[in-house]
Amino acid sequence: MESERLKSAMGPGPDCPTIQRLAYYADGLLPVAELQAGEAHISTCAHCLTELELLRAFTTYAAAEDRDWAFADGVSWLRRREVEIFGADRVGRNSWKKWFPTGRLQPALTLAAVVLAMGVGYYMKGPAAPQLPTDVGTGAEVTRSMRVHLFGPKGDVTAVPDRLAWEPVSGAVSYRVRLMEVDRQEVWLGEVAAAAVDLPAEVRTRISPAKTLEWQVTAYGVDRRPIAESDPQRFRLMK
Amino acid sequence: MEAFSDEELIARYRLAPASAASRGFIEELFRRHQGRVLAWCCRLTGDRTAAVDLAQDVFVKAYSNLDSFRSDAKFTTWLYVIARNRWRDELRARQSRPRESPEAEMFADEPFDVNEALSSLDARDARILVQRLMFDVLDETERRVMTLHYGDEMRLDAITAMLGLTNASGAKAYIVSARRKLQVAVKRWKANV
Repeated sequence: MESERLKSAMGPGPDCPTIQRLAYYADGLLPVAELQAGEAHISTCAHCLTELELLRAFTTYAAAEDRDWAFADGVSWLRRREVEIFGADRVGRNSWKKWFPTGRLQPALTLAAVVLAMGVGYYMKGPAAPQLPTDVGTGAEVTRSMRVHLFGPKGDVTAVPDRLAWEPVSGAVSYRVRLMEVDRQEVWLGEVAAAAVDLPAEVRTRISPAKTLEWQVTAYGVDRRPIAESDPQRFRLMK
Repeated sequence: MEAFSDEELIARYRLAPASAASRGFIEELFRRHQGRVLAWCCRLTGDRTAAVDLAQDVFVKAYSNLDSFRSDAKFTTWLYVIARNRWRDELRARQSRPRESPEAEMFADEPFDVNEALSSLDARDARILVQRLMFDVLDETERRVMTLHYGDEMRLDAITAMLGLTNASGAKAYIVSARRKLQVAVKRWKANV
């Protein structure tokens, strides 16, 4: 375990400006004296320099940077979410509304959600407004985030697992299973139709005692669109 | 409407925020930045579902806090502050769930004299020492990776995506080399104390 002292020495210090002040610094909106003091601090503070770098990366973002991600299976995922946001309201399903405050602010926040969904469509398709489907349905399957529930392995295990299993997802025709190290480096990727998969022998030999691994399942619908995903679940073979 | 700058759109919206016409200005403004926010969230979370949820939260928060936007500031900078603060909240929430904490165990078995050296200093001196050593012995990318991983407790895959690292093992390689350099630097520092 790394020491808390190391973490705090690399995190924001008592002299570091807040993100808001750093933003004003980046925009040149601070008084001259504060601007000069900021410059002196930032030039010797790895934390503030890194924060500024993140800010600049955000403000100079060019849409073309993420075309690979956006036009892979993320496209269909986001389009589905877009329909959910619109659809949930239209069909009276309120599972997603728990994420929004109710009362006086609700109309404004609902507008923001609608704008978000339209914006996702804009991002994927260009300036034209997204066409909403007319057959949203009864809302029976409309949820904000469908999750795959994983069974096992989970936590400390006494033997090398030979099988990964999860709860079947309604409407799923296939599942993609990823086994990863804790830094998300992929160890193995499999695709199956059933709600379980046997780990190949060569993968099992790579599961070492005391090494934590995690696995995650994505469910795909009939048109190859991802319809649900699990949280990553960790397990470790005991020594 | 496309000819208006972000800041002009907000100024026009503020003239009559309750009107339907004003809504159009805000819609245009948010549409312009959906890709930016979504991409940023995706790099941070490495997870499409979480990214869309996070982006949605950022825009909801931006809309409800539009009154706090300073007319002389840049909208993208202001939006970043909201996104960064929202991500900071998210990180805190994740840290409270042990399963999703960063890869703390990854280097746990390696000797690292920096921890020992820092334990003998108070917090202020420890920070001064670490920051000085980082500038003395680490290159720019190593500094950023170490800061994001240890200072912000960001996952290695998120750092790799956020900084656009293209080497095979991404941020992990920079952590390994930075730790080695700091290890040597601390030994030198201890010898001179």
